[in-house]
Amino acid sequence: MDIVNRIVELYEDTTVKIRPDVIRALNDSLEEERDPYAYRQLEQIIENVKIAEKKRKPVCEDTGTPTFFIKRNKDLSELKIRDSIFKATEIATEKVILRPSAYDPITGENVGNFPEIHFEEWNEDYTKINLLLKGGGSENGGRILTPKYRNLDGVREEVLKAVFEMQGQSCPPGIVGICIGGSQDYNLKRAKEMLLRDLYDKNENNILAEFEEKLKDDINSLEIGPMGVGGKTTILGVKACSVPRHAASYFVGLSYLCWAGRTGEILI
Amino acid sequence: MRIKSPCTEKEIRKLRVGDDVEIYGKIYTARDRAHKWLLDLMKESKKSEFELENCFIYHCGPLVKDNQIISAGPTTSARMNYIEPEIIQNYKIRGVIGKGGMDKRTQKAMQDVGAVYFLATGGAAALLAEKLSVIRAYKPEFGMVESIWELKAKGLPVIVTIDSQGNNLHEEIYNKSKRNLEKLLG
Repeated sequence: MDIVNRIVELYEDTTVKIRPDVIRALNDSLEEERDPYAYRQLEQIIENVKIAEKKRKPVCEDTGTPTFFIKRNKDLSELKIRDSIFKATEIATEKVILRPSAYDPITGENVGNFPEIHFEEWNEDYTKINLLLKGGGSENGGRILTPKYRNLDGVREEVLKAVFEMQGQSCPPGIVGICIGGSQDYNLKRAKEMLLRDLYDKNENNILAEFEEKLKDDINSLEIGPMGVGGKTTILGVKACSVPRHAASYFVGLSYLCWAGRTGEILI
Repeated sequence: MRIKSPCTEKEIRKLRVGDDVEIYGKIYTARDRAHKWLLDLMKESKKSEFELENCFIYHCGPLVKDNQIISAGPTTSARMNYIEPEIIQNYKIRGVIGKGGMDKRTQKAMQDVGAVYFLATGGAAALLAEKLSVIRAYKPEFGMVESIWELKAKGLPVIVTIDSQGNNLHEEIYNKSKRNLEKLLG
């Protein structure tokens, strides 16, 4: 099968399914949740996941901005992959696998869908394509933070404030991706990549591993709850990384993924 | 409990925050562009070709294939805050379905007119679509997302989170989480 068809298929599979780690976390949360409103929201979320997978219907009507993270084998041309993704996106939009969610910001005209692609070359003899479908509401939760205190306590404070401000608008319970340091565009991209990590993995950096766990508990103690109705399930996980910062800057990129954030992967 | 759109002010005034509701009847999707269009119509003293009075609107940009609703969850309602009070008052809307809640000004309009806010579960779009079918689309030139879809609801599951008596669950949670935040930041 050629790359275009593989990507159309990837779209089809990704829109109808939620990751096993997210499903596990949702089920665990349901068991723990005592707030009746929160419980009902989680019940509907889990029921929805079952219906979508069984009937092969998109989990969420917002199929988002198709975002690709590609680890490219050096013999496969970047241009070829890019062209294939654009073609596949056109086909998937035409077949209504994807909702035509993209608008020209100047004219207001609908332009179908516009994929965003991040390339990186690697040494393996195959290419790995990761797709992230992230709805507009969850993307709107993201931001660049500039902590007052240039340490992990300062980061914690700003992230807590940011999640508090989001309340129920970005479809909690979701995942918070953080990249500490770097320049403004670079750290947001890395923060978004953090959202692809398995919820049950452990950060190789022990300090960040502890930071992730503690911040997750702190966020949940805000009691915003699923869809902002209250309860202890505000977040399913925090995933953080760091990159060196310029001496003068201390930026923190925050990217938020709603519970219905969909991810898929193919190898070529 | 069940409630049918269109409905009376009296029926709506009985609803309270926390009520589990199944919506039946005719509802209209309307998001950013439709709201703006409705406001412009109002300013020009023109009428829309459909009757919104006493009906519910749904903040939703559905996924529709061959005139079938495939997936249709709520979008973030706060984007419509700046314009919703005028829409509610002018068109006598009885219910707004969405996610995330709405601001004080909208709540006040709901109290004045006799309307409520229904929270639908964000992202539960396959489940919600099972309870909806397409009657027709208005303003198809706005595109699938922004068109006004007239839909038939057959037990759409929602809860009341802002009622017409001044109760607002979103405000309650905001205040509670604010206190929790202050505690955490010492």
